[in-house]
Amino acid sequence: MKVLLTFLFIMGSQSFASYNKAKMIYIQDQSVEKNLKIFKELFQSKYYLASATFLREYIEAGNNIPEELTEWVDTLVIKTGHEVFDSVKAERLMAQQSWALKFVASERLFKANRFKEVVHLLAPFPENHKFAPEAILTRGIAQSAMNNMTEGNKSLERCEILAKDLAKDNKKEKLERYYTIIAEKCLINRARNYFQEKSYQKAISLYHEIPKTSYTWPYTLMEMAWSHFYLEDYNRVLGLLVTYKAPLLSSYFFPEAEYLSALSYLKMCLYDDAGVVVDKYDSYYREQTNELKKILAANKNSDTYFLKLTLGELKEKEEMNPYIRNLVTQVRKRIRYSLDLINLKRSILEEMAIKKLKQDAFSKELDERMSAVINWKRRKINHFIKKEMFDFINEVHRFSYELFNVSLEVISNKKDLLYKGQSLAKERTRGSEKNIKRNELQHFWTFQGSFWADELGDYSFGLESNCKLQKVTRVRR
Amino acid sequence: MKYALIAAILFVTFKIALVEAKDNVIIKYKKYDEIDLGNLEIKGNLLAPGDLSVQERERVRFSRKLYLRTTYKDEQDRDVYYLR
Repeated sequence: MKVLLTFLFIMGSQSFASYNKAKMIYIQDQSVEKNLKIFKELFQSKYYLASATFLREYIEAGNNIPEELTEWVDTLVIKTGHEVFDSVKAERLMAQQSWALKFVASERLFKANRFKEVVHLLAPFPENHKFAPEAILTRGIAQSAMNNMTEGNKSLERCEILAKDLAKDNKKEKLERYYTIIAEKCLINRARNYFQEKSYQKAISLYHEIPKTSYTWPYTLMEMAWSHFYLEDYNRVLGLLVTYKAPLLSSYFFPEAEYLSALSYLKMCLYDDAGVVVDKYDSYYREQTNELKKILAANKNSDTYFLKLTLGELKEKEEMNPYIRNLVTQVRKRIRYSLDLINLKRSILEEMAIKKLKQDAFSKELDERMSAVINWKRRKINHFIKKEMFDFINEVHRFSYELFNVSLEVISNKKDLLYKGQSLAKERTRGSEKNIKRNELQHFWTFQGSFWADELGDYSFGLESNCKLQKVTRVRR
Repeated sequence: MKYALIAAILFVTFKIALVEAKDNVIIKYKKYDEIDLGNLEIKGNLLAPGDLSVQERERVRFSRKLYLRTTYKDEQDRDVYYLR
């Protein structure tokens, strides 16, 4: 105990000494290296966010960070996030020797669709760097965006291996989960590339590698369903999409899934079933979304409303609107949200620690700098959540239009039958096992009205297509 | 000269009288006419079909382009935006 207390005392006094040194440099030093010197001292006293603001100014002035400090910069980006460097031009970040800053620059380039530069910048990224899986994932997606699927898939495969290794070696549960999600993202994006190349079977087998317990798994169901759609296995499409009706997945509502269900019914000439999906969508989901829009639109100019919405108890959200709870649950599971929130909390704690120090010109300067960055971070998270929610509303409206087209198609097909004096051969049947396409590893169990966790995602309908058995019967005059 | 003047007056008077007489012409048309269709003879070929018929044709179908997903480009972009 004594040793521990002595250690903490020494560390505390060292930290305080560094802070005082930084203050002296701030007052006395007028050299070009002033900002770098302050950064070093504040970093050593563990005021990471404050130190980052001085490093930013040093880079913005056209200077390059010395090689021996690159590891510090990596730590800084992990501890504070990269928002503090948002005002620095991508070219200035690219010029640095720090791989963390190069990675930050690559994201900026990616957003500007400068994929070629992204690939070039990240090509020599060291695989033993902490950011390697994310950097190689970015590179892989950039290569895919340039339609270089072979190289893109190679990068994504490499990213998956690295992320899995990091997850395995990590003893911290949160980090292990983080790298597992990154590994799954790499795999999903490979499956997406196969989908784009119309290698649907390959895509499906990759999607199957995602464990059902994963956060990313519910999102893969719909993507898998699209692959089955192109393989004309509409019963499997409907089975996969019905998984979203399971109580365990009640937080996941995807307008696109409803559309794909209706489209599959249409392909099987089950017009009444397609009509039921369209009617339900219009009467229930669109109504609920309009309510949601009213609530969100009233607060659209707030810089904190959406962030606060995700912070409180889930039960409170349920009373507001059923979708708010679902969206909040989904947002909370996003990597970006979790990391940004941790960084924001850390920054607020650091600001509070600085406020407790003796108030002078230097501490006021630090406080001002930190307040600006914290406000920026808060607004960015708020914007991220707001965008997620409004994207959902837009998606509901977009697929409402697409479903309208499906219902027009249904009417048109029905009219065609009428004019030709034809009728569909079969009325709606409950389905049969013989209509199910399955491989040797898949077993058949009848659905008994309850969703079992281990069965989720393995459902298939057994409906017979009505199109194949059309019977021509002339209407008698 | 005197005779010439008289002759000219007479000529003008006669001309005016002639024009006025033309304006008062009443043309009378036949109030009734009779055409005997039985005696009419028309030469030519019969082109109209003997029986009434409606030609069947395919009903025009307006093609609606239903949305089909072909890429996950937006989702892939979002995966990069949502990293650190």
